[in-house]
Amino acid sequence: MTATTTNKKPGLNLGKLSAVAQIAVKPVQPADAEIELARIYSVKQVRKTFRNLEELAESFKLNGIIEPLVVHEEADGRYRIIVGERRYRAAPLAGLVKVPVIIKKGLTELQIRRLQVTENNDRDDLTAYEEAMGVIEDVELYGTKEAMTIWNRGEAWVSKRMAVRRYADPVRELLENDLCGDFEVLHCLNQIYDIEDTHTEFSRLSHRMNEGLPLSRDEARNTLARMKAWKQQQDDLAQRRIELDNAKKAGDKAPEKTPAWLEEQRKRDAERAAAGADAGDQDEDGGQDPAPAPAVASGRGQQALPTMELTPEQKAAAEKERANEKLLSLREETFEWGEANQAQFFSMKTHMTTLGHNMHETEWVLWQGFLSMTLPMLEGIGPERAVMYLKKLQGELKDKTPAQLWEELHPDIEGAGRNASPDMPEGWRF
Amino acid sequence: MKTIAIANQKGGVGKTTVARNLAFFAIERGLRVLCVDLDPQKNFSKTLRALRERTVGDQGDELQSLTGSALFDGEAIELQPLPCGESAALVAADRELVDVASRPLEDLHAPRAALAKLAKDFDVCIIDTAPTLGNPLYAALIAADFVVCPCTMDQDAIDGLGDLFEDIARVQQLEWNADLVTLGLLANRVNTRRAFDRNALEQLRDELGEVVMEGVLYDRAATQYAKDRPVWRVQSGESQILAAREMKAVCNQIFDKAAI
Repeated sequence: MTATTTNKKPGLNLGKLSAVAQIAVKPVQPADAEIELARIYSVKQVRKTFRNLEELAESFKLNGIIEPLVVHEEADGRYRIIVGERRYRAAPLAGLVKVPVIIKKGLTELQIRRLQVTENNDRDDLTAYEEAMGVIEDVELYGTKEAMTIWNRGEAWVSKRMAVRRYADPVRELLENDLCGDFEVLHCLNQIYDIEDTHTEFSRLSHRMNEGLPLSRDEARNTLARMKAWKQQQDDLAQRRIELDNAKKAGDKAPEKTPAWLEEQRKRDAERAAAGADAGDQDEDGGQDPAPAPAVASGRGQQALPTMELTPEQKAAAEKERANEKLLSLREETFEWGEANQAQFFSMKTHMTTLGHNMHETEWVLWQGFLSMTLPMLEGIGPERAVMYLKKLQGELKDKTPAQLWEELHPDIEGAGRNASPDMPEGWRF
Repeated sequence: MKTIAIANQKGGVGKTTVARNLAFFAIERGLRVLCVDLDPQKNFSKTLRALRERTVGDQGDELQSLTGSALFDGEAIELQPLPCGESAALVAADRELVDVASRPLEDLHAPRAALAKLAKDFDVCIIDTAPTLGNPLYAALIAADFVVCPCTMDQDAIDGLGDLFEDIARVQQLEWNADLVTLGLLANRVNTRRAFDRNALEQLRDELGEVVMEGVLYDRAATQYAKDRPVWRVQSGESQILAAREMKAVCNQIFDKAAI
């Protein structure tokens, strides 16, 4: 009997269960427990700097410690500080040997971390640098999602602090020295720093902040925008210079450097121009363009006889004709891209079905594709007009499907295919 | 209203058996009882619906009433629990309870708020919980004032107790519900003829001391048969008298400890 009992006992292995069960059964520790400072210890904290410890100690001498520290009971019977590091450090300065504590037990590292951050977070008195370092460490230890939970903030908030890792050293110093705690401003500053090799503008701003003059978000953004625009101009100029140089070289050397499509285009232009005014009815867009006959004629003149001296009127007319041709072909291309986009989305959907994408993955890919196609276009027509267009489209989509609208706009004329660039209807207004 | 949750993430350890006997025990004491079924298997609900059938005449399936998943609306609950006889009412389990597992932590406080709204109409609330750890268990533990953990004497069930008590401790220590009182571990379906059961119970008492409740439920057929009524109302059966005595003793202890 005794033998079986002892045999079976290790099998149940209740040691650990006993410890945790005692925690669960015992009522929560009353807050007014006092523990000797000697039994409390601290590990690395979110907070790096402890200001005004003497001042706090003075207050302890007068009033004692009003708010208890939160500690975690460890296996060795000692207590590790979860919240109240500053009070713990100030207590001996006030001559205290015991401090009031709330005792927690059996928590995991992650749970302790959450309590710690919540406490500091709610009181909102960490420096921006301490906060950023804390967030970075948490993301590295627990991942972004958990860090968002720990700090109770969104992804953008976390990633702004994560970006500190990529800051140039002088920018990071501004943060470390508490000269600037605004991550928006810092982000701008970091870009300003990167734009110029000489960092002149950045030096000016950082010097100014060192003098104690703060930099507002608007000012930082405006400076950055100005510098970006300037940089863009410089780049464009440089690019144009290169192109000009290349064109010169190409002109000097061989004409076969011209890309095939351009060659094709030129040939077509030449043919068209050569065909002259008579070609009007053969043209697939024939009859639609109110292109005046003289313009066509002069176009031919210009193309066929390049050496001939043209009158200014002829030149202007030729210019207009070319622009008209160009616009038409651009409109045709835009129409074709529209159809190509549709095909694109159909095949993306097919591939996603094959891959077994779930709802969110599918939505993401489609939304992404939609944005990729739309956003550059919206920027192209101008942001304000974009909003107007989207509103109008939304209205029209209330009664009709996109396919119906498409059909109306580009009716399929029997035999001739769809009209890619329909004329403006009589009296049409946006 | 005092709220008692019956919890253990292991299935088949007797949660619903204890819940239903406690509910009938309370009814017979003349208390107004709110029965909350948070287990999507709906067995506790079935018991109460059977009681309604005997007293009101129908199971109340047709009636719109407050369900377990609706408790997560918190103070915004609109429906009332389903009346099941004079002094009992049911918050019935529903399929949607399955989704509780994926709710964010802050939602888990809602059922407590919902029950607080009903508190004036009842003296006791018995919560039967789903056999899982994590969110569904947290929600029940946050809503409860007391928790009882039935456990059978088998290796798997005993191995799972560590996790269960860890979850209880978490709810207390993180102050989701700092006042939650663990009434203890209730040894259930103990078979005195099996050496393993006798040993396990002895060891649990040695190691856990007062955590193990004094009353023990032994393995009796009558307890298993009593699905729609308390075991002391089962008509016959060899083990019925003993089973009834043990069950009543346990219910008494639980109510004493909870000062009901």
